[in-house]
Amino acid sequence: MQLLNDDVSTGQVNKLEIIGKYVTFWIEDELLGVNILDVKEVSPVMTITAISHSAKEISGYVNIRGEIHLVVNLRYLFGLPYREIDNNCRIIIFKSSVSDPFGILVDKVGDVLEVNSDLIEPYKVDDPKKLNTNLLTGVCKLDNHLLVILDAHRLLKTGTENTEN
Amino acid sequence: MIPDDNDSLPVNASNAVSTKLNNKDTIHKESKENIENESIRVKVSVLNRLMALAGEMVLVRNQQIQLISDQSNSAMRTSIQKLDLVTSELQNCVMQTRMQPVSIVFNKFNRIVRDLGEKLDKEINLNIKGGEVELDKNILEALTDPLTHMIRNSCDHGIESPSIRSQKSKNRVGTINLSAWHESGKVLVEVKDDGNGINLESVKRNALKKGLKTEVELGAMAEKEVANLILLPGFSTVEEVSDISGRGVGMDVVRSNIEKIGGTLELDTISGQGSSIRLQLPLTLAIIPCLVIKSGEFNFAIPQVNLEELVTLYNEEVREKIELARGCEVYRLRNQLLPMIRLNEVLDSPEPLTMEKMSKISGKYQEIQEQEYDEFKKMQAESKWKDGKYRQSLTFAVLKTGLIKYGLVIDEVIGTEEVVVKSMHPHLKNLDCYAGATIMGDGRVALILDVVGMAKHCQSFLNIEEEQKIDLKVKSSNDSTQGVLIFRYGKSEKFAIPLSMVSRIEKIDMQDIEFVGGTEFITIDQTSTQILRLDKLLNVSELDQQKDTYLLLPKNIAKPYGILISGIEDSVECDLNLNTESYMESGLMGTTIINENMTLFIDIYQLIDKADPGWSQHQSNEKSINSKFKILFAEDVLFFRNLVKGYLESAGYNIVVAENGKKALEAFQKQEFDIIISDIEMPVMDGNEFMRNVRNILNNKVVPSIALTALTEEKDIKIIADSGFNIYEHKMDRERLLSRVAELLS
Repeated sequence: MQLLNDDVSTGQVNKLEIIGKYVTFWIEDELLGVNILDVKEVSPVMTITAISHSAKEISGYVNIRGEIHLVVNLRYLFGLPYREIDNNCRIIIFKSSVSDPFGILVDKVGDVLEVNSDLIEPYKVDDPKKLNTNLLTGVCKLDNHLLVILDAHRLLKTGTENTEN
Repeated sequence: MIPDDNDSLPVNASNAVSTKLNNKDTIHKESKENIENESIRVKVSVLNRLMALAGEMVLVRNQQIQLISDQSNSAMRTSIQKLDLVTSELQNCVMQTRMQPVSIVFNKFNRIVRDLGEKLDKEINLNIKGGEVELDKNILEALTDPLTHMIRNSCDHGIESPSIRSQKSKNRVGTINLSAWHESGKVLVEVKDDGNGINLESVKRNALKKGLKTEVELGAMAEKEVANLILLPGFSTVEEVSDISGRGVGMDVVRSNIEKIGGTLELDTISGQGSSIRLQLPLTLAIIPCLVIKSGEFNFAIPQVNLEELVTLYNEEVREKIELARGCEVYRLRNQLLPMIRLNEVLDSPEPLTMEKMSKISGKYQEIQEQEYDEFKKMQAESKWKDGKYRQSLTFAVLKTGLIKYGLVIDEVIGTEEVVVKSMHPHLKNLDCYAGATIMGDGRVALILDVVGMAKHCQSFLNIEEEQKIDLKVKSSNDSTQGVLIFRYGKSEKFAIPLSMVSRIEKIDMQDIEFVGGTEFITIDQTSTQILRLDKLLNVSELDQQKDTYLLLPKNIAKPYGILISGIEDSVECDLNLNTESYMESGLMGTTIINENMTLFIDIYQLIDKADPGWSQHQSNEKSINSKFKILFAEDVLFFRNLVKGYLESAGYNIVVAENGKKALEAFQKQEFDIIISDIEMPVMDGNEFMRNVRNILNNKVVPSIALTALTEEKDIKIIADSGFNIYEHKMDRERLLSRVAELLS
């Protein structure tokens, strides 16, 4: 685990600062993260039952311990081309408080990072083509990477909008 | 479970402590009764969770069983067998937690009936039976409203007032029996009253008034059928709306509600003695029996409620039995045309399938089939595959829901399975084709297909639905193509006859043929049928004796005749614009090229005239009379034009033909005719318009007219009658047409 805030590393937490934990993952060469409080689990990819007629970004259904989950392929949501599912791929399943059972298919999971909310800057649209900006709540500069933070609550909503369009 | 186990201990121990046995036993009984009746409230969400977990456990068990199947550790084996048993029992038990006795709903009716009785000044007794029968919670909830409606109906319309009842020497107190029982895996619920029954006369009157049925139709209906009319949408028998029942929401709503939960409704009534309504309900909605099929790489489930049968076509049948009607594939299932949908194609196309797409798809498959067949033929010709058969198979499920019935072509049938239905993710609610999803035994998710949704997805297909009777209609509206039967008689020629003129084909034994004065007869269906040999009537080769012989029995013939044939070649759709120039003799309608072979179209009527000149000669007197009459005949298809012209000319009439209504009208304005015969469906100007024009020109003068048509639907016939035709007749029936013409002329 990488600790980003000096205060945290020394054990002295500034009361005014809010530390958030984020589950990070990779889509292509982009590091993204979602709030750990929204995540139920990270699951290996199992057989995904494709759903014909559904929007492109919907990969299909998976059975995770007796519950059927919808899987959204984040690549499509960000307008990236199809990529074979390999051993690094994972499904991040969200809690039922986020939405009806669903998860996202990601290329690779990263670490759980603790980020001080002060370090998160609001996301500025400078390259609107590349990323679907509705989903993004902020960016955070890491040592050698940029962490883009997604709002899990908005994931399916954006999907719906896309379907309707 | 646990208290039960504790209970069993003292019983076993009781042998030792025999003195206390009696005492203990009574205490024991009491506690057992308590346990049976005791209940606690449990949140439904907990129950659902419990059920999901039990389902998951079943999956784990299945995996375990698979894992040990290739190991021979016996201790492990026994333990897993135990796990197997316990899991099944657990699942059953969990399912039971969702079940509730119907008495929960039934007992409400005591009060409703009592209140209604007071309000209506009727004495009504409600008998409840089978309150202990259990149903799934969801079903029970959905049952409340329809049942209430039915009970109210019984009180309001069924049971008469006490004074009327005593006049009819019935018990003053009316009885409504409400009962529930199990029958062959379903639950039946019946509401039965001993009231007046359904007033069939007023039902009929109402049906007439609302235009739901015609008088003729009503006359032909059985009592039960009439009673069932009240289940039609928009039907309410009460003339006056009361606040108890008859608020416009009638029995149709009850029925649709029952059908929504997978049940059926049956209604029975005996006039003056009461009526009964019987509901058949599934035990549970959460688990439904399904047919599991494969399409592409995924499995799908089809609810068995919608499944009528499975059909597999083999080898040649695949090519021959699937026909095209208006660009869509259809299969003739026991004389009913069944539209076909290919599941792969439905799933492939997110947009609804239009007519155009459907025909493209069917075209594609036809092409593939032909290619495969050609290849096979080639292989056979090169004798690489000497006694190889054309190996192909096509499986489809015949699905039905309400009025819609179609065949769904699938890749493979996996089997039947009881599946736990999970609803679709809210994000996917707009997909019509799925009713839900489920987890299969192997842990994969399978989608449950929605039979209605798929039909809707194929829009064009619903259009076909509207014209249920596509059979005759499609054929005649694309008039110039007709189904024809190609058969052989001698070794060289091929003959053809329109399928619509064939009654049937019978295999016969040459030894059964009897000779009467040089004429051959054979007994078929206890009638002596005269045999026609084509080589005697036409300039063609002799009967091929080596093969089996068949007798082709034509339709619409006054005397029984049969044509001897040596075999059926094929039945095809073909263009009936016959060539009458290249080869022609009397007895033929003309020739055409089918499958690159010249094929002779026989004219049954001429052949019969040739074979039996005596018969037509006695009509020659009539002929001279008939020659005074002039007939105008309008028909767009050359084939029919020649056919009907042939009939009429052979009867001696003078006939003028026209290709369409406009031409006919022109001819009509030039000269006078004694009778007009016209087809209805024609290009440029159709028969109806033509006739309306004729009536305008004629004003009040009468020229009799006959519509010749293949249309049989009531609304078409009405239009025909409205436009001024005197009668309508079927195209193919010569005898009837001639007698009608004679009738109208006399």
